Amino acid sequence: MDELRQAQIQLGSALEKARSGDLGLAELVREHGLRFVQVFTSLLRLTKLHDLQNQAFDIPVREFRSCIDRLWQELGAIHVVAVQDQIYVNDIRMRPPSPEDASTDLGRLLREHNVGGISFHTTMDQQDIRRLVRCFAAKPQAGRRRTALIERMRISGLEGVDVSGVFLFKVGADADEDQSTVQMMERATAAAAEAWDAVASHRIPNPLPMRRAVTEMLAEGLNAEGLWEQEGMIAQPGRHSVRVARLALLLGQELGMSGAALQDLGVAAIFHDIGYAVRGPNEAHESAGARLLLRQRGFHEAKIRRLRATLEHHKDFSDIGGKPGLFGRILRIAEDYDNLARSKQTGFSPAVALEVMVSEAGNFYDPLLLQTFVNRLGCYPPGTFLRLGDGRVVCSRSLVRDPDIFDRPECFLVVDEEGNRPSIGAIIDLAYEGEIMGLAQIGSF
Amino acid sequence: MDSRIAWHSTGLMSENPGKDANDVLLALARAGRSFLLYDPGNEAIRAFLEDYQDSWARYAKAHGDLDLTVRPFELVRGDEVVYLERDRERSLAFKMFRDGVRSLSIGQHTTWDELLRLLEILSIRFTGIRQQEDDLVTLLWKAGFKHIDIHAVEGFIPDEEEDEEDDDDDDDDDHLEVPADQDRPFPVFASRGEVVYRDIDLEAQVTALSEADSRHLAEDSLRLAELLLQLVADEDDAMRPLHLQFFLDELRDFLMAEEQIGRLVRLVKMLQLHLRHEPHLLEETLHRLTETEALLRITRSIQKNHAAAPPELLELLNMLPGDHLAHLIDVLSSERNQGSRRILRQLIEPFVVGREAWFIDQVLSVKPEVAADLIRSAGHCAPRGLVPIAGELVARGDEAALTELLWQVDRIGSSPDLDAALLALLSSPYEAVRVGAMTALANRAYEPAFGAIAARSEPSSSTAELEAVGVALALIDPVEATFLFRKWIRPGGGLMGLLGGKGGDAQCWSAAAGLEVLDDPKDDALLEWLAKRAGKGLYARARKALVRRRQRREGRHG
Repeated sequence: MDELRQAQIQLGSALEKARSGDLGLAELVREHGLRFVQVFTSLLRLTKLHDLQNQAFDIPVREFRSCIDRLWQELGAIHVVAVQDQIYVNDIRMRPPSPEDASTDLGRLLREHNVGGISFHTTMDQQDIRRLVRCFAAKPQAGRRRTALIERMRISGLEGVDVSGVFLFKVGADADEDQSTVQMMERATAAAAEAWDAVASHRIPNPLPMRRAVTEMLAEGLNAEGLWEQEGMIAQPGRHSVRVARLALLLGQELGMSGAALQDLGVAAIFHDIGYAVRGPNEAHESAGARLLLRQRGFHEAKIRRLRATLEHHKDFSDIGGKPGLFGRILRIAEDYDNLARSKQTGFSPAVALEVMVSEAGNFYDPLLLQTFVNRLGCYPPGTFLRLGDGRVVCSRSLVRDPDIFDRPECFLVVDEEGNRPSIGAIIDLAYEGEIMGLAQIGSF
Repeated sequence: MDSRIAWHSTGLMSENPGKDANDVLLALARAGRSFLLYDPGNEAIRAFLEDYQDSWARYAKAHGDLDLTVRPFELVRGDEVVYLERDRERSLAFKMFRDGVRSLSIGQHTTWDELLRLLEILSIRFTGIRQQEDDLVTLLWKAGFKHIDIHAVEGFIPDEEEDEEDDDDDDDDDHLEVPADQDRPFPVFASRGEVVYRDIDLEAQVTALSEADSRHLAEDSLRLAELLLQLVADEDDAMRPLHLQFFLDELRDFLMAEEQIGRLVRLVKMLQLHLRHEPHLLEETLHRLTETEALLRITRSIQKNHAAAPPELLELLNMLPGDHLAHLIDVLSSERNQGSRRILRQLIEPFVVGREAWFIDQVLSVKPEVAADLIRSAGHCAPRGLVPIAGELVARGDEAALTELLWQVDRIGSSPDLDAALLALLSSPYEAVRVGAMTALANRAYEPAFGAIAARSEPSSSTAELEAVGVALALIDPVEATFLFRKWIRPGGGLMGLLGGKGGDAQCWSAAAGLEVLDDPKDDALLEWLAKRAGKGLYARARKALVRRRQRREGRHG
């Protein structure tokens, strides 16, 4: 078979797979989405002509309900975004039949309220629709147009509808955008925290911002920075998720996973505990998380692995029901390590956390994966306090650089020979200097 | 607007690098869009791919790397606009810009595989398929290109100038807090192990990595289904079948598209096990596996690689509730793909057993084009059932159904009703039907048809029909036919008299065709006589008959 024929088959098969589960969906969204936008625009326009009790609203309200039901059935959530002169419904650009079509006016009508997008997370009955239209019909308040609209919607009980600010196409990266690892971790943490907030408000999880965050992490490089701060269980859920993601990515990378699989693994890690945001009383977060993730429509490899990992990330490797999937086994290691190394309850240093975990290789943990993790983190993982022969105390800050110096990380100085604590710790590379006497107590520093 | 036209009309570029870059990008955009219009196997797609390959090879050889800046409607190389397309639906630049790609660099040593992957990603975006999971940027990044590089920003962003002072979207204090019992209690560890560096066993590493391979996806999905169904079966868990509804539909579609019928069977067994205490839910869930769209997907997929329906598919249907026979007939009614119809017919046949009478009734109640399929199935599994409806089919006169009936007639066996129906078909307005009927009557050696068949040898008949008349007559009654053929060729004279003129061309043609299958050597002279007096076509026909008769005799003696 020649190269071109092979290419035809390869591309045909890739597209068929991409379409799997989404057969005809784009056409359906285009058709019903455009009608949805047209009717919504008509409703907003009508408020400028008639009182809301006028019968002129009856037909469009009924039609809007029918449109929203149909789209919601297929999409789970409907996101309408107006970017400059274009309208997107769930990422699909609407094609108005003419420049004068009603839909072309939606952006302007939304901007009157400083709004660029509106999301429908539930279906709406006719009363809800009338309430929504009433909210938009009210005169915008100067200086707080969107905020006032959100307040009106909240008072009207429209909890299933969100609005967002006006969008522009971004032309380029900001010159002063901070690209440091810490800042990047902060952005990922904020995205993860927002995801928790969103799902707690019954929104469907959106993996795309998480994927962007993971892409940034991988592009930035998985160095040790950000892995050692001693902060206990900080009250923002995103922190734990993002740290677990970084640890999982370290393991996955060391194992030799492809870029695509790493990206999926990172997103799975960020979502792994999301069930806590929505669980009922006495309910396991794994099941609650899976139930939540099931709300995302469309068959996708990443979604399948993410769901499995969410269900299995606390399962033992030796579970009698069968070993968990690869992502679940990786997350089990990454999460336990993060919890043990940071919890005030255990008081474990990172090195001890790793030691106790190693004792359960083959039982709790996949021995191959755990050894891979150990080979990457080293004998003294980042954040481990070490007492040196000359009385200095240092804190490790590097991952394993070479198997020959597996137990000699690069550190920064915490306490010098005289017992002083320098404000900026000098870098001490134990591969070249210093004799390790043992672990130092965390609490002392 | 076509960007090649823009090039010439605006005079934007005059140097070769720009022109060559334009060629590459046009080829890429065309190939990307082409999957919307054509089947992947189409020759047009092949031509687009060839163009893409050639134009890139030309560019790379002459100019090296292709570094592009992405603007909403343009791709710019250095200061030159090398691609311009203002129609957003067609624009390669807009697709990239909209997803946040701001620069694209294709290195000189980019491989064909990488170029194809780039095309694949752009094609997926061109199809407009829902991408909740990925966008162009993440897809490009995922591809792990070695020679293609992108720079991206978020596609569209909040307009900061429009931010409101008391908009509290970014207020950290509003975030949820971690629950106090998160991940508690921690596992209990009895001892400490030794943390040492150990080489990883390569084989075990490869095995573990294979779990992240796409080829493992079907198995992963099934395992996930099992885990979820276990939760559904757990009364203490809040997971309910309703939560799984979309997932099961998606999984079904995926397994069907991948032709993973064996795994579908396993899925059904899982459903039967875990939902056994909720029979209504079980039935509803299983029923969704046989929805029309679902069956169409799988038969369309199977027909590409298989001539026959795989046995697992029948096993699957047998495990599912519902009147499959009626449903498959419905599905058949909405399918035009011939390969898919073949698979559907094969699926129908086993379900006809025991319901022959009902099935035969359906032949008369469905659309004519579906009736033809059902007749073919009946020919395989209930041929005698066709006898009572043959007359009705003849009376309706649908060509497709009658043609199919004639194809199946040899399987039915003898029946006076059927013979009568076939006889009636000699008057059908459709030539194919008349010819088929003659053939069928000849095969049954149905003597009462002799006269009616002979009457079909008319000047207005096609040569195909004239041939069929001759052969049918020869087979039904060789002796009577021989006399008739002689009379048709030389109506005014006997064999020995060699007097009189030639008969009508139509009858002579039928006679030549009939004599070709008969054996009396004396008729050679008659055929020679005919050939000498016939026009070009009939001459050739008579000669052919002579040659075949001689060949047959020589074959017998030799």
